[in-house]
Amino acid sequence: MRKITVLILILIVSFPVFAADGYTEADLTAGDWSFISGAFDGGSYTGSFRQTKTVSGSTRSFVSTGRIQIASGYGIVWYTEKPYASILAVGKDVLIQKIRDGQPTHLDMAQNPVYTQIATTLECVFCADFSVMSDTFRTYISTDGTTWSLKLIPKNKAVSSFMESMVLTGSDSFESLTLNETTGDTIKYEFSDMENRELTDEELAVWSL
Amino acid sequence: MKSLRSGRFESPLAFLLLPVLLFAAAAVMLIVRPIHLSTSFTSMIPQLDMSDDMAGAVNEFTERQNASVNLFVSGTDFNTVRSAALGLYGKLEESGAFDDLSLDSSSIDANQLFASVSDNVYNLLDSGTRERIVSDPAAFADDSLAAIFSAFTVSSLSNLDNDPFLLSETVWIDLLGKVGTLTTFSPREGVLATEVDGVWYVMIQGTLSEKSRSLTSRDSGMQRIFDMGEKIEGEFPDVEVSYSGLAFHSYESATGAQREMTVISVVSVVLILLMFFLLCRNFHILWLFLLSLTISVGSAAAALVLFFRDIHVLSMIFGTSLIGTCIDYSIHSYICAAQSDPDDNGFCIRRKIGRSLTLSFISTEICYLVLLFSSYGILRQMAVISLSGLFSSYLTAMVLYPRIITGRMINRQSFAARPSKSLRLPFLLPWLAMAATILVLVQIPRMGIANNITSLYTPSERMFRSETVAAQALGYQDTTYAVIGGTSQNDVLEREYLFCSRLDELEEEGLLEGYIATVMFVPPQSQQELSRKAAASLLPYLDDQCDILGVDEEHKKSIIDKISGNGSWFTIGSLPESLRSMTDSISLGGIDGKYYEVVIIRNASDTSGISAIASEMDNVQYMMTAKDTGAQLDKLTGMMLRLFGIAFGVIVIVMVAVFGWRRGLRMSLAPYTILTGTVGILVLSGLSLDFFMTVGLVLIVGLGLDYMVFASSGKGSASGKAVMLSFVTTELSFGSLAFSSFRPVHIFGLTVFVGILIAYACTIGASRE
Repeated sequence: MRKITVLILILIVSFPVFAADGYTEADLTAGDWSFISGAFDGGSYTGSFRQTKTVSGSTRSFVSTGRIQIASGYGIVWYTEKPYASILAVGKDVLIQKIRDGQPTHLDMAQNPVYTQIATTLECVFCADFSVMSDTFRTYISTDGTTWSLKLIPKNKAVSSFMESMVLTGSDSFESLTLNETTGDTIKYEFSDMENRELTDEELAVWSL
Repeated sequence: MKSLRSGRFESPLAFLLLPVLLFAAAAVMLIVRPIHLSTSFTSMIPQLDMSDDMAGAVNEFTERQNASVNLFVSGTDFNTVRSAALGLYGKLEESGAFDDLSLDSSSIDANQLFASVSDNVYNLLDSGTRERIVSDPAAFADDSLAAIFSAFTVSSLSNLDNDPFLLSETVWIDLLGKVGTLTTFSPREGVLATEVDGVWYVMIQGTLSEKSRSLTSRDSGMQRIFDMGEKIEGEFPDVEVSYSGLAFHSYESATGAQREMTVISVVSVVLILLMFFLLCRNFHILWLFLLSLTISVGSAAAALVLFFRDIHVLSMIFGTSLIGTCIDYSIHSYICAAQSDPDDNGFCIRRKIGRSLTLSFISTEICYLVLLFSSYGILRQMAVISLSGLFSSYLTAMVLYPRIITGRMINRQSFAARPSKSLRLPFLLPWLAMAATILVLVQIPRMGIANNITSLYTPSERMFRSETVAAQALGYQDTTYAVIGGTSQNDVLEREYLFCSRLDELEEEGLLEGYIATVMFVPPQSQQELSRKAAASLLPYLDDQCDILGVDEEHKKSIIDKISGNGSWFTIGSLPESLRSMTDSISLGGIDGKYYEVVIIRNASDTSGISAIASEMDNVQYMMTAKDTGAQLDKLTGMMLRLFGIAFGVIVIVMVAVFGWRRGLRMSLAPYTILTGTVGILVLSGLSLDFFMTVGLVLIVGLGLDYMVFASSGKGSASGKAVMLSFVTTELSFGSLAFSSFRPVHIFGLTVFVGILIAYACTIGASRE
């Protein structure tokens, strides 16, 4: 009886903390989540991003800006423009990096299970694939009627060993993505001017670098 | 010394003293130095040409391989496969058959790995990164800033205070790439899984306990593992459990051989008993035989214990050959008594066959002596068993039988005692010899020493299927390995680095599909030194870099200290746990004051190229177990055949000395015909002249010559009957081994079967009444 009382007390004390987080667990494969999925146009799109990296145990942050390109079936490309130019393409099993005017680095990551998990994760997030998202993450929702926030906690041990959670926010459109690493580092991408359209051959040429 | 003919030159007590002393010495030896009964399949294989130190390292690795097993649970639905794997894992864990068992131990702890990379980054730069830094350090520093501000870095930025040039990014990517090549399996929902062509595989890795590996122990865990796998397959009909590892093969092979040998032995003994009863109408000959066999086997076992510490179970099985010699001596003594005057006592009988027995004993011992010069441990054990057992049988026949055999033991109505008509045959031996010679000459183009070790073992259907599944899941079928030695841990790593650099060249040419080596994760000190030197090229840009990134002075000093090294090296002991668990099986560590590492090479198509690289380097032994062992057995077979030639020469001299020129040479024609005829027929049937055939040839010449000796020395039908009985019993006891499915035993048995048949034909063909 005493143990049950202690348990109830713990639950009562924990509830406000959980509620303060503002998120409730949600099954994205059941119910109407169109106010979230509607923010994603599907297919390919381009836009601008502002990226803020913070490092744990330090007040410094690294801010950069550039263009982002999500190519359905290929992956995601970040064209960082300021303060230092670089290109980074994250495909399902390939990582291409080109810094300034140097030669592109082309890494075959097909045999790297950790990398492929990251790539799959990013792809399902950017394409709002709720089915894959639910398989890969425990999903929590927070909404105030006009904006929404989706918190994803990885189920996979390999992913959870470096990623604590991922938070997506938006209203009518997808606005930001924050990666919270287990080290305490964070990367926040804020998106603007997102345009849903077919990519040109020139834009897709980055995958042939 | 008293005359043999007097019948009193020896005392039975003196004779009995010999085995008693032997047993006592063996008992003392057993207490002082307990024996180890080896049942491992690989320990049958002869040691290759290498130093004892290296052989010790190879044995250590083989032992680890013997203990290491993988189980694969496969099926099309991941969740079902996972549930089955979890169920099997639970059962295996409860069984206590494993020292170590893991379902997900290889999962990579990214933070632990990254911490290790961060702490040692200045020691771990690969050659490509080093070249980039040294060729243009300013550009490298700028590039690192661009990477820090880029959209995504594979490594964490949390170590920028200690690594402002983000060197850990390249080290980290390189490390992840290498880890990815180690296995196709990746952690997924608490298990290690991979998917190939729509089939999911979950792997359970284990290290068997010594007790569970023991094939002779009642607690052998192998059968329990098979039973658990079958139970899981029953509970989950859509999944399959596969077993991979030498221990499973050794178990199936040894238990199969033991079971088979038991069946063959029982059938042989029953048939021999039946024959004795039909021909002798009593079992007195059986008592003679059992007496001889008991003392003979006891003496042989005692001698084995005296001379060897590691005794292979196969040597014991081959020791059953003593049955043949004990039967032969018993038969000759009994039949001679049966055909003699009822008043003749045992000493009279001995006078009649004493010379034949002695000559037969000497000629057979000469043949067995050949085996003693072999460098093959099991063969030497067989030689000791045979030499000591045969010596004991001979003494029993010469010393004890004369005191035991009496006229009352003979049933005068039996076939054995009845005088029979002599068989009149033309003198066929030269014709047989000519036919055998022609047969061999015709076969010469196909004849040659060839030992194919892979053909000696045929896995069961279950194990064949299991290894096919394992190869499919792991993505490779064939592995060879190299053992590298050195005076210190770093000395080994230096050699390993050079060896692996050469392997990289072969890999680029597509001649192998990769390798696993500790040096992939722990570069030798020479490379770590180069890494620090390259990092030192960035020091002129350190101030600017730290200013941009906000790194304070204290960290700056620490960076300079780390780059200067101050004698701190990244060692095998520095490896994080998740990597250490992957390299534990190949990092042999210190053995007798030297250090050893193993490089596992996958799907090498140019093994001779790798072998050439290894032979150019000191303390590198490339092991292609099947090919090397085949070559080693070829050498051994050649050596045995040469020794056998010498033994044959000695036998001819003995024959000529005892029987005179003409008769001696004529008798020598018999072993020649036996040898050539047997080899000719077996090669014609598609067999190669291999090691196990050669062992059989040694035996048939020894035993076959006995027939000639007895036939030549005995009196008419008495010796004819004895030789006939001897022939039938030898075929039943040895020839029956031809029915064994265990390939080495089958070849040995078939050789003896054909050889003894020819020997008997030669004996009849040489008998001219």
